[in-house]
Amino acid sequence: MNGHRVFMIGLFSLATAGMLLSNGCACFDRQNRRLLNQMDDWIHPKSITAQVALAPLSVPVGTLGLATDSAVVHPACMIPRAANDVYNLYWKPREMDFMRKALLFIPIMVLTPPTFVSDWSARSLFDVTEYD
Amino acid sequence: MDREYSFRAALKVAGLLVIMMMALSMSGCAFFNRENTPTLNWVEDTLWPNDTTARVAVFPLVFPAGLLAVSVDAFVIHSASVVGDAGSDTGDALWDDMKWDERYMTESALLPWRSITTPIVFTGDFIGRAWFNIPKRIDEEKAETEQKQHEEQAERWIEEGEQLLKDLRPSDALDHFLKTPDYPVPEPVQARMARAVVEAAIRCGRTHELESFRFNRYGALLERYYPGEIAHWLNEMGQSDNPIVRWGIYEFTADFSKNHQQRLEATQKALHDPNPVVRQRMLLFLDVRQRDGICVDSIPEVERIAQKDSEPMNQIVAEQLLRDLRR
Repeated sequence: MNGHRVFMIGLFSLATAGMLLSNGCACFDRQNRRLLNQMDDWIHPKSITAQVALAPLSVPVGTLGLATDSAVVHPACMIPRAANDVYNLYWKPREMDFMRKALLFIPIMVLTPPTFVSDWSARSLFDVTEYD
Repeated sequence: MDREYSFRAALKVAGLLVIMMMALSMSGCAFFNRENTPTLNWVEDTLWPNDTTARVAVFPLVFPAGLLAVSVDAFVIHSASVVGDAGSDTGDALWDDMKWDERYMTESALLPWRSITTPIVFTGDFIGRAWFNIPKRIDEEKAETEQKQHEEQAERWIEEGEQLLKDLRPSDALDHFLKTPDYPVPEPVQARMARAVVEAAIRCGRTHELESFRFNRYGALLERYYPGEIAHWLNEMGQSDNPIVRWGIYEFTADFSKNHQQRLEATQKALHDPNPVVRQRMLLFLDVRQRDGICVDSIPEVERIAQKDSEPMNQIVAEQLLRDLRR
């Protein structure tokens, strides 16, 4: 049972990694690494000696920056976009009669949170800026 | 419980093997390329006798010897030979595009990921190259160099023809183009070549010779580039003062256009042409056009010419044509 669980988790991780690689992880795109780009502007040693000397510090700090970009900054930046997507999809005023609006209100209320979460997750994980 | 577990495990292994076999047969197993089996080739060349009796005698040894040779090829020689290519592929994929001076922190952050993924990418690439018939990097580079050489050669060849056109020697230009090179003309220059060939043929009034060009190795290009590059040039040249050029355009359109409406329009334009010779050429050509699905009865211009044309000879030809085709 334990082996089966490990196998399933491995398969899921592999599928996620495959999807990330094939669709392009959000952080593969330079535009989605806001914090790391800022760090590049702040810290740019010119000589190779300085670059090597700074490496023990720059590697962990850079990795932390990349992790922050992936887990915090980019997902946070995607909240308004996801909200906009949901608004355009469900809430944007349309020419519709009262009866239809009334009928659609409850399904839209129910669908709004899962749609927002899926859209936000997709935008946070994958590079979907081209669809903006 | 144990028996059920081992049955499942066996099923999984069998499934994996089936997938592997399918992948190997579909993508082309490395074994199918002679270049990947030097030991097997050596066994075949040196140990396999030419004499039929000797062949029958050593036949029982063929399978074990061949299997041993293939195993040596698969696990030692071919595998060892792809290590370098797998390393270069990994280098290209992960370590090539680094800009430490421009984005030091980004490169620093990506360094651990590059290091972690290197063995994974290398192993995947190595297995792919060892199992499947993937062209060696040196072959790909050689093919690229060859393609570049052909492109340069073809460009020079087209430029020479275009220069002849500029020097107002369209007939020489067409002769130049009809001697097609013995290498494949690369895709990026094909459209330019097709347009130059058509221009040369039209300018010297030898459009009919493109018929022979149609059947040589570049013939398909004229049809492929007709809707784009060539049609664009034909539109530009449609208003030419030169009746030879105008006739060339009508004739070429009639021959190479796949569009019935375009062929009909070219016919009507030619029959309305101010030059009586162009009108006459089209009348004579209509005999052939009838076979292309353009019915003379559907072209009132022919009757109009038969009744009143500034050139009496055209009236005669049109009348004859109507008689012949209605018979």
